[in-house]
Parts: sequence; C-alpha cells; structure tokens
Amino acid sequence: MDESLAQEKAATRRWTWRIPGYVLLPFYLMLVGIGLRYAVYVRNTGHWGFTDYLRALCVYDCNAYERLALNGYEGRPSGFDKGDANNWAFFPFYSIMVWAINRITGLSMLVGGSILTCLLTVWAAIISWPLFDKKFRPYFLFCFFLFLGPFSYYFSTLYTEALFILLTAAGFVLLKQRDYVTAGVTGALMSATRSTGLLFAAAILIAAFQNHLKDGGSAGGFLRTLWKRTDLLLAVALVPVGISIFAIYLWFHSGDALAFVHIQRAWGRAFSDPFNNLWLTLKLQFDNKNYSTISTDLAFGLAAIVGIVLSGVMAWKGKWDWAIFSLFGVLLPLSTNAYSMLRFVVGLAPVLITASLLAGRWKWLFYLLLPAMLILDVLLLPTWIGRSYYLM
Amino acid sequence: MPPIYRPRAWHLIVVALIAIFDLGVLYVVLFPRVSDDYRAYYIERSASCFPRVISGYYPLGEPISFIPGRSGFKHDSIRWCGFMPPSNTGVRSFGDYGIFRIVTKLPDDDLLLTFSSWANTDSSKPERDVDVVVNGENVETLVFKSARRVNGKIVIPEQIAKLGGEDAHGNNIIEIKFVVPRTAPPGLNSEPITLQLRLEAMRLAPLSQAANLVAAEDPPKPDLSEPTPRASETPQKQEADSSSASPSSSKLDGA
Repeated sequence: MDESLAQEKAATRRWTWRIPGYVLLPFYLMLVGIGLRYAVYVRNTGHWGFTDYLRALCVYDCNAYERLALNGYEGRPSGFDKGDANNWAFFPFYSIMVWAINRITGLSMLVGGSILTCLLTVWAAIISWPLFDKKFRPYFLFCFFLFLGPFSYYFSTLYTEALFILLTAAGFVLLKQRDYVTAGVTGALMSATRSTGLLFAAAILIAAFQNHLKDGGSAGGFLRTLWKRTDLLLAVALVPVGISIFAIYLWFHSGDALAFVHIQRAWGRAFSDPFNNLWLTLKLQFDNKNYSTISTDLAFGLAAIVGIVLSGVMAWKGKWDWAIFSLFGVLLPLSTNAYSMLRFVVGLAPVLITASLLAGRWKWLFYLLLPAMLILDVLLLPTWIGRSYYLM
Repeated sequence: MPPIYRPRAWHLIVVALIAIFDLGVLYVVLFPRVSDDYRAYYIERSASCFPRVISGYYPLGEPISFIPGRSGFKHDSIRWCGFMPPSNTGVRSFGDYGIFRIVTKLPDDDLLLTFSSWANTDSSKPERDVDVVVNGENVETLVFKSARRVNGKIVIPEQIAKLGGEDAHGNNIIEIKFVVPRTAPPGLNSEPITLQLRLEAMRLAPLSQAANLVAAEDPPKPDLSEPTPRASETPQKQEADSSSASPSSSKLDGA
C-alpha cells in the first residue's frame, strides 16, 4: 500500500517536472520561430519594423480574414478580374475572434490576429499531447513543425489553420475521454471555422463505436443500444450548428444560404470526382512536357496523396475516427479543385500527428528532420512573402 | 461486461430544439432570395459571367480606349459582363461571351460599331467564329484565322439598336455581346476553355455622323484609325446592312 502510494507520488513529481517540457515547449518554440523568421525578414529586406514584418507575412487569404474582421461580409460580388468574388467563402469564427481581440485590446486586426494565431497554435500543441500516447519525440516533432517547420507562416499570421487544428485536437481528445457532447460543441465551432468541420460528426460516431468495443461491447450491442445513446444524438446534432448559423446569416445578408459554396465559382471550384481531379492535377505538367520542375499543380497533387496515404496509416493503426475525418478532409476540397491542397493537408491535425508519430519512431529520422524543417522554414519564408502560389 | 447507457431527457430536448432550427436552415437553403443574374451564374451555372454594376453611360460617337493612358473615353462604364478590367493589352473576354451594356438616348438612325480585336489563336488552329450579337440579334460573325488583328465595322440597324428597351429615365439600352466558341474541354477549374477575345478600342456612333467624326478628330492611336469607316464606304455599308434586320454573316479578314 505504502509502496504504491510512493510510486504515485513519484509519478506526480515526474509529471510536475515534465510540465515545462510538455506545456512550455510549444511556447518556447513559438518564440524561437517568431525570432528566427523576423531575423530572416530583416536580413532579406533591411526593414526593422515588426508590423511591416507581420504585414509582409499576411498574404492571400490572410488579407481576406483581416478584411472580414474589419468590415464583415461584403455585398454584391465584384472582386477578382472576373468581378465574381467576395469574402462569403470565408467562414466567420476565426475572424470573429480577431474582431473580439481588437475590441478588447485595441490592437490592430493584423497585430492582434497574428498574436491570436500564435497563441492558438501554442494551445493546440499543448492540448494535443494526450493524442501522442506519451511519446515525447513525436510530440516534439509536431511542435517543431508548427513553429519552425516549412509551413510555420500559416501558424503565425491570419489563417484559420491554428484554430482548426486546436479544435480538431480538442475534439479528438474529448472523444478519447468519451465526452461526446462537449466534442459535439467543439464540432460546432469547427464547422463555423471551416466547412470540413462538418466531417467531425462522422468521427464522433466512429469513435463512439470504437470506444464501445474497447469497453467490452460488441458491434451488434452498439447498434442495439444506439437508441439509448442520446449523448451521441446530441453530439452529432451539434456539429452542423456552426455552419448552419453561418448559412442563416448569409441568407439574410445575401439571399443565398449556400453562398459560401456558390461563391467558390470565383475560385474555379465546382464539385466533381476528387480522384479524377487528382489525376488531372498530377499529369498536367507532364502533358505540357515539363519533366524538369515540380509545378504548383503537381505539388498540390502530391500533398493530396500524402494526406490520403496518412489517412490509410491511421486506419491501419486502428484510428478510424482520425482516418475518416482526414480522408474526407482531403477529398472534400479535392472534389472541387486541387488548388491549395498543401494548406488543406497541413491544416488537418490527425495528419500532422500521424506523420509525427511515424517519423518519431526512428531517432535518426527525428534528428534529420529537425534541421531539414528549420532550413525549409528559412528558405521558404521569402517565397511565402513573395506570394508564391506554391505554398498557398 | 458491455457498457450500459442511460438516455437523458435534456439531451433530447436540446436535439429537438436543434431539429427545429435545422428546419429553418432547410427552408433558407431551399428557397434562396437572389437576383436572376446571381441564380444563373452561381447557382445554376448557366451564365458564364456575373454582371458588374455599371451606369452604362457612354456619349455616342466617342472613341473608347481600353488601354490605360491612351486617348479616348476612359470611364469603365459599359464593360458589363465577361470582360476583364482594362490593361495594357485592352480588355480580354472570359467564358462563353463578353457583353458591353450602353445606356443612352438613341437617335433615329442606324449605328456604326467599330472596334479592333484579337483572339488567342494562330494560323495553325482552326478558324474561330465570334458572333456579334446586339440586343439578342446576331449582326455579324467575325472570323479569326490567325493571331492578327481583326477590325470590326458593323452597322447596327436602328430597329435592332432599339430592341433593348428603355430604362426608368427613358434611355435606350443596348447590349453588345461577343459570343466566342469553346476551344477545349474544361480544365482543372471545371470552367470550359473558350477563345479569348481581346479588344483595344471601340466606338459606337450614329451612322450619319460617323464620317463627320472621322474627319473632325484625330482618332486615338493606333487602333481606331483602321476600324473607323471611310466616308465613301459608309453609305454603301449602311444601305446594305439596314436593308435587312436579319442576322448577317460577313467575314472579316485579319488586318
């Protein structure tokens, strides 16, 4: 009895000592990442202004989220050369948070939004720790990727990736803890952040089924007791609430509840076979006799393949809730176009966590990836600031 | 030991409230309150462009230059649908057609439409026909055989010019539509690939004044000089074209 108590105390002490490692690590890495990228910016441009640096990082959709926070949703579409675009495609939750920060602190949308994104990423990293099954090396890799990896700018400027990863990680942790209703609330926030948040409803059902099996139940028993599962019913019903509120708002604002879907025509997006889209994307540059470089289309196609393969790995590992969420998180945007697939894949928390768990298995790969990611972070920053379609 | 679940009443109450809310969502999804042009472009995808909000103001007879910095009428007030903004190469069409919409008081006279145009084609490709449709009536078919310029010079009979109706202020509405052919199946963005028409300059003038206009002013350089009709040609063309309101199909060679 005394021995077990002593062991428990030792474990608690160990945990206490590890808190700086698990909890503060993301924070330290965030500070290092910001410092590094700012130094690269100063080195490349000669400008010392920190706000100028934040402005330089804010390219493409960042401007849309900033304008959304500043002015809300626009009226009749008139943007782009074709005059058919506006900001109805951008989901509101993230910009509402930026607007709230601005109201509370008085910071500009750009500065407040950038700080918010960084802190959301830190929070996402901390909250995702239980998903790593106490494996520190993959966790370190995951944090390193977020703050010092080749796509770190998504997590330090006004983009929704940080918030979406935070909500996704929180949702899967809650599913692991069998707290389905709270997971459903998280899903509602996810669907107010991105359309792919809707997919979390499927993840809830799958996780509940897997948890039922883990708890000693059978597949038949799960179906037989499903009518009693009011918690699941509520959880699944909660997920679309976020996107539904957005749809209602758009109906009052524009007359079209599905304006966020229809406006995608301005970006050349229309629903079709995702695998055909993938095939067209992959072969396009070879059709054009380009065998020497990797075009943006090929890069997007390869990113989609990585996302699909890692979803397969999740399924193989028995994490079907992650797998289905990630697979359709790739296929849904891919069904409209392969454009921006890099960003969509990087924005899927289970994909990043699975990749980290895989790469973290081998020490040599772990130590190889750290400098590789750091170098890419430094090299790609000017490319990002230069508004490269590659990284968009 | 299989887990035991207990249904909760408050879960069901919240689900019922969400279901009522979802019915409202279903209603707004099924019944959009949108304009016809929005529905055609975004929902049904039957239109290939979404109209801009423009005044349509254009002083008849003024040369329009679509290239910033060149002389001519500069207000971007008639580019309505299917043409990208003016640039150093003029305005470029996208989609199946591009439309200019002019709102003005029309004289009791035929009109002369002149313009200089190019298309993204060359002599190795098949001939590409571009229909010029005014107020729904085909008035001309341009043929692009190469990458060279094609100067349009089209007489629009008075009765066709006035087919477009009037606005609330009694001004006539003229829609000049350039219908381009599809040249390839849809690409990665699901939109059909069409011939791209490029216009650098355009003028719409009453036919009787067209000759005087040419004589009176120094035309914007360099492109309106060629499409502007010579005085000696005007009466013949006018006579020929105004004799029939039915669509004509004369082929213009590259200049």
